[in-house]
Amino acid sequence: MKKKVLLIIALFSLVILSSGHSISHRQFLKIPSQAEILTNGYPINQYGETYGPDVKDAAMVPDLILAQNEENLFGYVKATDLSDGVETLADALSASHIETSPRCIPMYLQDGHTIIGTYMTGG
Amino acid sequence: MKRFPSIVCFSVICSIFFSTSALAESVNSGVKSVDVYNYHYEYYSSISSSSGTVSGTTTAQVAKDGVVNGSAPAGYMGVYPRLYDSSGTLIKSGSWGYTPSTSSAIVSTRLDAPDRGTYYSKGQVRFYNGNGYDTYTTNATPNMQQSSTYALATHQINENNMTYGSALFLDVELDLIQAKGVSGHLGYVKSSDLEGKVPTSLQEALLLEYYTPPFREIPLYAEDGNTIIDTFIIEKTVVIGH
Repeated sequence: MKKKVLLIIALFSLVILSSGHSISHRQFLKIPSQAEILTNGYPINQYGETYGPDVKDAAMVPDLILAQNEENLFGYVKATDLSDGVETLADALSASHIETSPRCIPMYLQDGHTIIGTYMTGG
Repeated sequence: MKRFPSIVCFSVICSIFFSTSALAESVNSGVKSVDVYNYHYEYYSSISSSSGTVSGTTTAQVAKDGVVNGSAPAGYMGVYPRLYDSSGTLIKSGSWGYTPSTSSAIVSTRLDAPDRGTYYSKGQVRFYNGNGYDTYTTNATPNMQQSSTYALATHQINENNMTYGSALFLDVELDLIQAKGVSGHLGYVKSSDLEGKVPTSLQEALLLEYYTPPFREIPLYAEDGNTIIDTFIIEKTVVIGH
């Protein structure tokens, strides 16, 4: 009987600990330092995307680029969201692809899924 | 020392205005070159400062050793400027632009830095390869500093001889700094209220850091510096990242 109670307490505390752990990971923006990136390359999130500041002298651009919006909020924007989707010469020359006004794209945490703000691009 | 006589202020403004407007400088990144679909292209980013505003552009051209030596058909070249601050954070992102007709070069739209700070420019270029596009990233430019002059006109003096305006105003510390209160009122906070306790030693700084509450409330005043119209919250600085 004692064993059962202990087991239940152990399981319960494990659940609390692990949920606390995941919450702390979910809520904070992680920004790798430039030195870290130059030594170890860009960190990779659980979806296989690289993230971090677009280090000035690094050869690679991360999938999730650290950005700061007009309200001074930090977050990650997707390199694919910044792109205009032009693939052919016809696309480039068609008026529909000329961006004349700014466009809002989401800003994420390093997971590339949790939206924390918006970033204005173009225009 | 915070209350500048208006004549001093005026001469400071004049000297800064004239010195910055006289200094218009521009620096390019290192040039990269590439052969795509029988054209030889060169591309780079630039950063410039004009009347105190720092701005970045990205250029692509049909050229060899810095000399334009031909042209490419419409849509063959695309440019996309980006402006970063010195920490590598993307601050401004422009949009892709393509040559609308046969051209020897294309320069992107100019991205202006929003605030005082240190910036560099590093954009992307795209060249038609017969079947689609190849995209390349330019070298980064050297850093360039902006000490904003946008708010010159908003700096004024009230009837109590206090200077008030937006903190964008150069390096002169204002007595009343424009701020938005918790209830959304636009007013002014006293710079003396903002400062809080200044530590005199490293030990004291660490103790202050430890004992500072997460936020502190100070009054938000009307432009007379006497009438309280709202409350302004000062949040404790939290270091993010490593």
